[in-house]
Amino acid sequence: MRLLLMLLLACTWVAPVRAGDFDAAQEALYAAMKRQKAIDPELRLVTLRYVCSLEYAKRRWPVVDSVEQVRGAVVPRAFNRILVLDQKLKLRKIVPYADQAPRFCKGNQLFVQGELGIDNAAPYGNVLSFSDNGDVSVSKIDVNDLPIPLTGERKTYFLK
Amino acid sequence: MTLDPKWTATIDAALSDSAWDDYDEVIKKEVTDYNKRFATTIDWKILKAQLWTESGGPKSGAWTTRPMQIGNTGDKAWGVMKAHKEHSNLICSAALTKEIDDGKSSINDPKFNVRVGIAYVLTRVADYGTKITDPKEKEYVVKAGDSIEAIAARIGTTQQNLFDLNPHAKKVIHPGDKLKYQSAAIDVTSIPVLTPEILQKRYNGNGDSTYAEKIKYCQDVIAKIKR
Repeated sequence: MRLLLMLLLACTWVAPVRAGDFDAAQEALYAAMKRQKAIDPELRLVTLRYVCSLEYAKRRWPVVDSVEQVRGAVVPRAFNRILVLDQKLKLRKIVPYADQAPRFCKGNQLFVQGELGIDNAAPYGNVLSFSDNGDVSVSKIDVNDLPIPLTGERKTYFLK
Repeated sequence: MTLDPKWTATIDAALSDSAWDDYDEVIKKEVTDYNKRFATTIDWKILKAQLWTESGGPKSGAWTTRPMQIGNTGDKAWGVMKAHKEHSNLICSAALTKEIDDGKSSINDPKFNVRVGIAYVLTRVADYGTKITDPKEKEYVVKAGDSIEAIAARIGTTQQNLFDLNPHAKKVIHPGDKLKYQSAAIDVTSIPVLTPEILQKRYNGNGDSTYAEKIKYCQDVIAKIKR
């Protein structure tokens, strides 16, 4: 009985996450992007943040939001990109965007605030779906039907 | 949001200084050409307002070099235009393309900067889509290591055409799969009516959260000018 209890506890124990872990992860991300020249030293980096991880081709793919600005411009113009990395933080795909922003992942789908198109061409939509080959297709979902981030539940309980 | 009073005072100076109109003829000529080519009704004055916002006016050093701020150190825009990327080849006139390609005009020549700047603005704001150039369906056999993106570029079609004719390709493709396709290319579907909000979103990328407001302020000042 005691052994069973210990096993149960071991299964449910979650290692505490410390704030320093986030800092270390951010530093590793910055170093990896800099090494791969995914950050332009001539631009001013204003945002580089991990958003979520996609799941396709039986792997996880971290998604990063990157915003850079032209230095010394009278008014700053931004260059915004969604970066899809592999598990070794190697840059695999770049999706430029204008004012949209990546919000969260669910499986192989990345949900975006606003609508964008691949290669900046129609169709425009707020859901980017990644194929096992890494290709991206775009579709649209009504904001009311968006899955809930993290749990992925649908908001249908409002209708019950 | 309130604009910086120093900035608005700078713009107000335009009411009594005709130097702020230096590029009117260049803008008007460019806009007339684009309106003809794309059957649009772009108001040249919104681009004048944008030019003021971008440059800061005649007292700014940018006014006589890079008034549209294309070609600043690190700016990707000039590289995009020179490489004809982001569909800018569809926007630029043949004459402007030739001038960009022959390399004789400096991006620090203010009039050239304005022309390239306008072309880049329209490149960023235009809507694009797939245009079928030959409706005849053809077939492509997937090879190892292929992706839809690479295939589309290689066989002269668009990713969307491949997805439209082969919906299963949105999930996965395997070597040996047969994909239907038509010859197709990306084309301009429309150029939307330019508004300060569209310019902030699509051109400025929200780099300056007051960009639209600044353009509106400039538009108001331009409307008050009587000379």
